[in-house]
This record gives sequence, C-alpha cells and structure tokens, in this order.
Amino acid sequence: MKVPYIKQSDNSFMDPEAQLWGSAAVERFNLSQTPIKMVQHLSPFMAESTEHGQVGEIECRIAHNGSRLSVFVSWQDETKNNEIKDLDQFIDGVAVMFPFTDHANPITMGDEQNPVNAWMWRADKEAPYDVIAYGFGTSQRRPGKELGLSVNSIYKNGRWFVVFQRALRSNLLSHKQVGFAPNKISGISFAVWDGGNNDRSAQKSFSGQWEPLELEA
Amino acid sequence: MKMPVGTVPSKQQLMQSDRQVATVIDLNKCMGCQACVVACKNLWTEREDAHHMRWMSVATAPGPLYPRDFEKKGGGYDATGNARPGELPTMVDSGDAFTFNHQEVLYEGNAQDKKLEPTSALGGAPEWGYNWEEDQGAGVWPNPYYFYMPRKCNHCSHPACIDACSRNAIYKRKEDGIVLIDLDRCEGHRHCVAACPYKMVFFNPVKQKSEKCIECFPRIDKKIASACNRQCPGRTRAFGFLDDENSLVHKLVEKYKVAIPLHPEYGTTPNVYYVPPMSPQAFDSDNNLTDEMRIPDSVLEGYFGKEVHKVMDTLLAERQKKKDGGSSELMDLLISRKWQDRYAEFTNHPV
Repeated sequence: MKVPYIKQSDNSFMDPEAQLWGSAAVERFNLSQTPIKMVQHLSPFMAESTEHGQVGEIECRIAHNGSRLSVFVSWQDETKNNEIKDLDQFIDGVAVMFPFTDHANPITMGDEQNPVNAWMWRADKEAPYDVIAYGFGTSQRRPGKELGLSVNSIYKNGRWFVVFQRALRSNLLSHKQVGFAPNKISGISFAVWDGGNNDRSAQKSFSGQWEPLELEA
Repeated sequence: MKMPVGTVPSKQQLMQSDRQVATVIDLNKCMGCQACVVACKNLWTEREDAHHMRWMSVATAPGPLYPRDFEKKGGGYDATGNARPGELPTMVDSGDAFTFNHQEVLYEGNAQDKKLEPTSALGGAPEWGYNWEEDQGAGVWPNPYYFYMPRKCNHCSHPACIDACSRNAIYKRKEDGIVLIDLDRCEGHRHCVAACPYKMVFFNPVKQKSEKCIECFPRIDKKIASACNRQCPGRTRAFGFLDDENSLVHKLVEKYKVAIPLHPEYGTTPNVYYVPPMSPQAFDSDNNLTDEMRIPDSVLEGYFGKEVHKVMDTLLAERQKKKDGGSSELMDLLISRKWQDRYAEFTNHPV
C-alpha cells in the first residue's frame, strides 16, 4: 500500500471527514475470525468460541506529512458499543499493528525475538493504547497519549471512522515503538472488535497478514 | 503462584500451591442471618463500583440461588475434563444494586404520602434482587422445606478461572492456595467470569477489572480467620489448612468425611465444603410420619452428588448414638462449643 506525502498540518489529518483524505487511495482488506484454537494453552475456554470476529472488511487510507503518519480506518458495525451499561456488554475497538522485524508473525503477534507494536482504540476511551507484544498472551497496553499517539473517531451511518496519528520517528526509543521513513518498506495488519458480538481479547476479526506499507518521499 | 508481568507462565505454575486452606459450612446450623454477607461487604465491596457484588452470599435453596441461576450458566469442565463454555451474569443476575428515594421521602416533607421505592442500577423498577426468594424453598403441604446456601469463592484446586484467563492474571497463592486476581494483568475480558461454574468472579464495570473473594488474605497473613467465617454467630463455620490434622476442617472433610463440596461434577475441585442439611421426617398423605426425610434425597444429590447419601448415613448414625445416650466425637465437633476450636491456627483477633 502506497502512503502518499500530503502537505497538510498535523491536525488536519485528525478529522475523518476532512477533504484531504480524498487524495489518499482507499484500500480494502478482508478480515476473518482469529483461529482461536491456537490459543488453547492460554484459555481452553476462550478457545471454544465460534461466533467471534464477524466483521469481514476494513477500509484503510494512510498518509504522512513528512513528520507524522496518519492511519485512517473505517468498518461497518450496525451496533455502536461505546459504553458498558450491563455486566455482559463489550466495547467496539480497532487496532493496527506493525512489525519490528521481517520475521514477526502477525497471527501470533510476534514472538520473543520478533516483537510487534500496535495502536489500539476502544470506543469507550478518549486516549488510545500503544501495545507491545512478544507473542500470544504477552501484549502490554501502554498509555498511548504519553507515547505520542493521537486518535480521533466518529460513528456515522452504521460505520466507525477512526484516525490514528504518531510521529514517523518516535523520540521514545526506550519504549520500543516502531519507526517509519520515506522509501522504507514496512507492514501493517488490522484487528477489529465488535462489542455487540462479545468480541474481546483474542476473540476478534483480523487481517492475519502484513500488508506492505511504502511511504512516498 | 504469582508471576511477574512480562512473563508467560504455564497454567500449572499459576495453579500450583504448597498447601490449601478450606472452609466448612454446616448447613444444619445456618439460619440465613446474612452476618457473613455483611461482614464481607463492609470489608471489601462497600464501594460505589461494587455494590452489585456479593463475594459472600446466602440464598434459600432450592431456588435460583446467587448469582441468579448460576447453575444454568455453564463453565467448569465436562466429565472428560474439557472446558465447558459459560455465560456472563447480568447486573440483575448479580443481585442488582438498588438505590432508594430516601431524600424525597425522608427529607422533603413527603413521609405521609410517599413510600420508599427501590430503583434498579439499570433504571426503573427492580426485576429481581439479592435474596429475592428468601424462605420460599420447595415442596408442598404437608412437606414444604428449604435450607440456606451460603456461597463464596471455592478457591478451587483446579480453578476454571485460572485456566480461562487469557492474560494469565489469576493465580493461587503458593503458601495457602487462595485464588487471587492480579489487577495489573487483568484487562476485564471476563473469560474467568464465564468459566467459573459457581459464578463467583464479579465484573467491575467502572474499573473494567474482574474481582472476587480474596479469602481476607491480609487477615490470613496475621492468623486471623476470614471475616465471613469468624463473624458467623451460628457456629456453622470451620476454617484452616486441609492438611492440618488438628484442624476442624481436616476432621470434618478428611477424617469423618461429612463435609463435601457443592456440585463436585463441575470438575474444579472446590475447597468450600458443606455438611449437608438433615431435615425432619416427612408426612404421608394421612399425616403419619414416614422414614423419608423432608428434603428429598434427590434434591441433596442434585447439589452435592452421590456422596451425600453416605454423609447422611454417617450423620444420622452418629446422631442416633447421642440419642441413645452414648457419645459421638463427630456430634461434639459439629456442636463446636468453643469458637477457637473452629479456626485452627487462625484465632487471632482483628485489631
């Protein structure tokens, strides 16, 4: 996926309805149920799930302005679940994930030698999470705001629209965050949680592979 | 055993403990006074975000018990040891958390024409609540019956909650087998709530973490019995290490084998044990006493499994010894004259 350089202010990308998003190409990616039997060892109970991950597609536009990368995703969800009113309710969410190395497996969320970094948004939280993972069951949510990650979202006509934004180069290297640079090929992977479908943790829809990401100069 | 954040422990490591504490509850003496419930609530869940939680509950059996219909919500293991998926209790199933119009009735001059009305935590009139079926029980005249079912976390030897947690946030304490949730690891996914067949893990929707009975471990560390056990005015409770041969729990569970777990078929090896309730002789249709007991054997078996019949035989035989003017160590243990005898080494006073 080509990531165009668009000369606009950082803030202007944060509006999902901004005109500038019209100049970034839309890519659509298929999502599928996570193969939950793979995490039998982490939770034999979770591994019995059969109904999770019903969201089938995600739309994505990505752009940068030389200093910051903006990732705009959108997907269909007929029920807006942004509040836990009862004890059996769950929250809508989305995450985009990036590898640290060429060998990181997007299905397992990396491994000990090949970690991954993800940006996660939940419909009931204003601030996103910056997630680091070294394989199944190791993900750690970190406060995204403190790590320079911004997010904005709207729900309209049965769809969620979410924009993530972060500096191409993180100044917080000690926190293990991925970096991006023009002409450098990276990868991106997607996950969606439908709260109305009781999606949570590994019970989600995901793309399950790295989509190549190429930043234009 | 608790494992540091960032590690991926095995379920076996998390479930491992060197010793196990246990609670015995004698259902023949529980009078449903709720003192244990209040003791627990005052200590641990008297919080705005936890009003719906009763880590300790007493409900009338037979009935939907607490949380409502937990026996129909799955979880635990099937006969071959496979995980059985479970459902999540709702706010109403969890007994709700009513608010009352105290201000309107008591402070605004309306006492003559308004009355106190509960409002559900979800808004509107309550649909169900904690202890909703108090003393209803079952059976028809002339043989109605009920007994009380006090319940708390069983601190199981094979806890489904630990197995279910995808964050590996739940573990047994190495020194006493108490099951705890590491709130630094918990992300509120509630796999544990669904997996616990006893539905003794509760979700805190404000903190978005799961919570449960901690067996008053800060008291246990100071050799003070857990509050529900210590507070019981009915002398129904025993507490101690299961392998301590001098403890009342050991004598009732291991030596006399008269205390047995609730729903052993759930496959989690619980560590709360019950002395099942004896009941008066039942009447026949001509109002003559029969040899049957008022609480049908099938009802007891439904709660405690087939083992209950052996227990009833033992209890009745030992009671008969006393009736016949003889002695019975078991009956004396069950009478439990001194409170210090019930809590083994955990007899320090709370300060």
